[in-house]
Amino acid sequence: MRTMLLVDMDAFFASVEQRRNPALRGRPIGVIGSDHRTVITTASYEARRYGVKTGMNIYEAKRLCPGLVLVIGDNDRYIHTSEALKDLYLRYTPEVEIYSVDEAFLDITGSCHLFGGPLEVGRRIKEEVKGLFGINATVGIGPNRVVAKLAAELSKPDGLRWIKAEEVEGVLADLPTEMLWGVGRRVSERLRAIGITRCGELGRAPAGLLRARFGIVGERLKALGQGREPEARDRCGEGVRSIGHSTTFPRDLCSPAEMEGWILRLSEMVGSRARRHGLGGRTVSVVVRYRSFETFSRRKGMGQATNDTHRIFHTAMDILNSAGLKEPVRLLGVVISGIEPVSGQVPIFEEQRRRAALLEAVDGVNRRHGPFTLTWAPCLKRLRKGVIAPAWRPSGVRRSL
Amino acid sequence: MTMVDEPVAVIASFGGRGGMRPLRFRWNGRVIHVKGVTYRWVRREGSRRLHLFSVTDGGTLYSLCFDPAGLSWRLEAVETEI
Ligand SMILES: [Mg+2]
Repeated sequence: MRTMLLVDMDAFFASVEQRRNPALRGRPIGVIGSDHRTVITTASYEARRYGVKTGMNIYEAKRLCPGLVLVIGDNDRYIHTSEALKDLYLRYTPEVEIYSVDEAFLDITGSCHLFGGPLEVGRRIKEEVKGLFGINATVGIGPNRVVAKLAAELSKPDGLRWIKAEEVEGVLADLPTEMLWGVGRRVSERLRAIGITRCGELGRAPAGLLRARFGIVGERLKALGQGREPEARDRCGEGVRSIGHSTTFPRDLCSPAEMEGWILRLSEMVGSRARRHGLGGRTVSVVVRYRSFETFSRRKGMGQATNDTHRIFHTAMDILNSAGLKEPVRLLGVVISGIEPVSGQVPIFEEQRRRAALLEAVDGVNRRHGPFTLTWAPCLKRLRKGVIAPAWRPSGVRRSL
Repeated sequence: MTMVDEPVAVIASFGGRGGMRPLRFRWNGRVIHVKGVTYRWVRREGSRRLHLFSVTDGGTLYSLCFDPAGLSWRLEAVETEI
């Protein structure tokens, strides 16, 4: 039996800002991406009490909470803190998976006895985080990541909870399905339509019924309802499925032409990360989030697997140009999937050889002097930073859910 | 928040539990005594690593930036605590 521990910072960006500026402590604050942005990235718990939420626009938020203080976030602070947190976690186990900028899974199966057991590990980490950064963390512990995540969800903020294997069934029995990790409101509504509202019911539902309604996702849902980690999640050594990056613009953009520089920048981030790991992708997807938060993605094949920034960029632009954007766009993402190793291929044509040599030289410079030290000219217009997406991670390639 | 970005003379202590910390600095002909470091972080600019400190004198918040390559300090911004 494994013991997984999830550490999740409470209202991370807002907590960091409240530490940095003592005058903000105890007050309702909303962190925004830049002074042009009108959407709350993270609300402090004081603001949440008034109903202010992530993704809400500032006018709505101010209406709910007239005393709300808006604070412009700073990526450097969050990234630095996130990296320092990782160092802290590594003192408890070498098995640390950074899940997002403020969440990490620690496999403490083999190490927790050294520290007096799972709860003691959780208590110590919370105390250290508080001591080092002055921010509260919630710790959830369980026999797998799904249960660890649930334990955290059920006890935040400033929580610490261990749901033991033998307690899982009892905890899940009457819990609404939307409490489960990866089960959104929409899926919950579709479950309700077939008479399933609680996790216990989901876990007992006939697999055939779920498969008929949800396809292969049906089996995942049943596993989640039983507090099991669906197969695909039980990886360890499993291959990478996709490599992607996304960004929220300082202000909403309307035409693909305006987005070109951003797409190039994202393509370079994806391409260079893939090259670093000797991987390439056969398909490019572009994720678009409108001002209204409606989100969709479109994909296009590239024939052969590639990690060339320009191939990714041109394919992404093709997708964007044929997408027929209907609203101003707040966020774009570029993802490659159909991942396979490409490092061993020797380019045959002179042109390909030259491109490969160019990319290698660019990567070499950037490894040494930092990302975007040497870059494509259109990226230079894009140096202004927004607040990173919470799904950001410090290093490595992202594994798919 | 007011952006400043001026070189400043800083007295700092090194080592001890909190590591390096600015103690006082001279700005606008005044000596400002640091009552507390509220947050510290690192900003990467190419191969440079700049160390940032948010410090308070009790009423005002200052952002100080230390560049280990040039062994120099800059005052980046000043905010009156609200
Ligand atoms: Mg969090």
